[in-house]
Amino acid sequence: MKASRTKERVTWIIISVLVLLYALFPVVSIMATSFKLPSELTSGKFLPSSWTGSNYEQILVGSAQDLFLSSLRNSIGIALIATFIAVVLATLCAYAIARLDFPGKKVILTTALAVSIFPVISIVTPLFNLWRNIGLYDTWPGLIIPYLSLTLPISIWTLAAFFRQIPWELEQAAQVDGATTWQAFRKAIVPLAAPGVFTTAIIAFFIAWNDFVYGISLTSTEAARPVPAALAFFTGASQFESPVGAISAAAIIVTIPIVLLVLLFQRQIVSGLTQGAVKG
Amino acid sequence: MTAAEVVARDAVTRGGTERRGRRRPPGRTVLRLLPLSPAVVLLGVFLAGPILWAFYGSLTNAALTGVAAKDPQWVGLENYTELLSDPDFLQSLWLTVIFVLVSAVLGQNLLGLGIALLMTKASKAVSAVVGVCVVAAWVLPEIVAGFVAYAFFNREGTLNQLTALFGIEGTDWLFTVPMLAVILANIWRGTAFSMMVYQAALNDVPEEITEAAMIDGAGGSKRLWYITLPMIRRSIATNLMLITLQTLSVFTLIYVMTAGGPAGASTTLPLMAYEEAFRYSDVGYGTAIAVVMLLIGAVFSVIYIRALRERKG
Repeated sequence: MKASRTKERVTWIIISVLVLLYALFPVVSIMATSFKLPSELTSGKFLPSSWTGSNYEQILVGSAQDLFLSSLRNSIGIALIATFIAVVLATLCAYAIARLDFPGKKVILTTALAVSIFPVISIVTPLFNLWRNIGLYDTWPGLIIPYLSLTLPISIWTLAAFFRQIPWELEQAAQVDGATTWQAFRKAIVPLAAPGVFTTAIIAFFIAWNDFVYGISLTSTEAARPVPAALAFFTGASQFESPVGAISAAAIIVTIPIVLLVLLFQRQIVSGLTQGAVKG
Repeated sequence: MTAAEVVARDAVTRGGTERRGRRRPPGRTVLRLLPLSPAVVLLGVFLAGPILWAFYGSLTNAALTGVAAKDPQWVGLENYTELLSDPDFLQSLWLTVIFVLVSAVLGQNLLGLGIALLMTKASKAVSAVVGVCVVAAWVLPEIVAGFVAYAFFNREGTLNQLTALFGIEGTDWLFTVPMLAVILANIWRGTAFSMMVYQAALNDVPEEITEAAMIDGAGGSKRLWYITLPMIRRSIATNLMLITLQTLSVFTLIYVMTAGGPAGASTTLPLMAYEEAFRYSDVGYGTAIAVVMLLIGAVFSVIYIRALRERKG
């Protein structure tokens, strides 16, 4: 009995280690690369023999500073604004869909979903033309708007699923108890709806933060270029040095906020992403 | 789509009972549509607009530069007939179908299901740690994932360092087997999503049923095949549909790893559409490819819905 239990435990440890290796090994290797000196990139060793911060220096205070820091500012600003607008509009939409009675509700939801699966690559060309004509090319709004069209459908969908589970009778109950309409909404409904809104915001932020296709096609300068697009423009400190170290360092920096969000809110993110797919 | 239908259905029944009580004053509906309007207008103008333009554009000789950019001419189905006789397109179509079948339908789907099944048996601590790591790998920005995969497969990459340990000299995998490399990369990147969907679905399978089957003497594989899988059939269909559509439009990963090369050997349809539109500035031809991608997505979706409905009887 005891022997079999130890054996079982060992099997589980082996399985977990394999899954972890599978998931994290490539990421760890990038992190190791980001601490290597340029001369060491082709050494064939996994870990750097002497750890250096020079790649981070290069992108944060050194030669690649302009390219990286401005793109970081763009990414943070654009992703936050897009997330905020998407969540506000999606909340209005999802509230109406979950609460109110009007014709064409189903059509709205299915259309939102249908257009959201349309390949981004084919929307980007018309937008490129349009943006150049109306002066939105290479501006913040020029990226915020396409990010809204990426994030809104999934936000509406996720939020509508969340709102559907809220016991709205609570609102009436609070009103019977003497609360005003606004009080009933704020005190009874908002606390129940907040987790859903928050999860939606995180998912929307991921989508906006991770985009590459719009970022590279609809910008041309540091005025609006986000980090994922900027990664493609990195060059080595000299023409003969590979930019791999600097790219690795930048990749690690853009990944940190995402990984932090996942570590903090993994449960909510998973439930937000899967409930549409499962509870249907 | 399924959730959306339920939302709509719920709302309809709820609305029905409400309506019985009192008559709605006219104009109410208009007021009720108000909260929807900002999102609908935005999506209508900036998402549906470009999509409709894409359909229209695929019937013209629209271009980014030159005469055709100023005044695109209506060419009817010419772009599509040209596609069918373009060997590059036929190769790209074939590569896309392989990419979707091997990396999404087989790789992500089966591996995700496997890990999810394993995790139902694991202790809480194990499944929590594994869950966080797998999700963390999944939310990596696609460009970072592409770069990670590039750093793994290239000539000086991690994979060759590993094979060197065993005394085997590797090749430049991105050059010799580009499709295999991008397929493995996409499996690596996407498996977490299937795992999450299946974990959530498996949690909803009542334990009593599998237990009852166990008492009746059904072995592990029989329980899986006759009890568990049929019970999560809907999740399987939805998951297959979502990962298929997602994989169909994978662009960044391949663009970063191989840029479609060498010599088009890993150019799937999204890369070809992008190349045609932005490098060769043939927007009409590029959007025609995008429309074909949509059709492929629709075909796959219909197959899943059909296949998983039949088993009900």
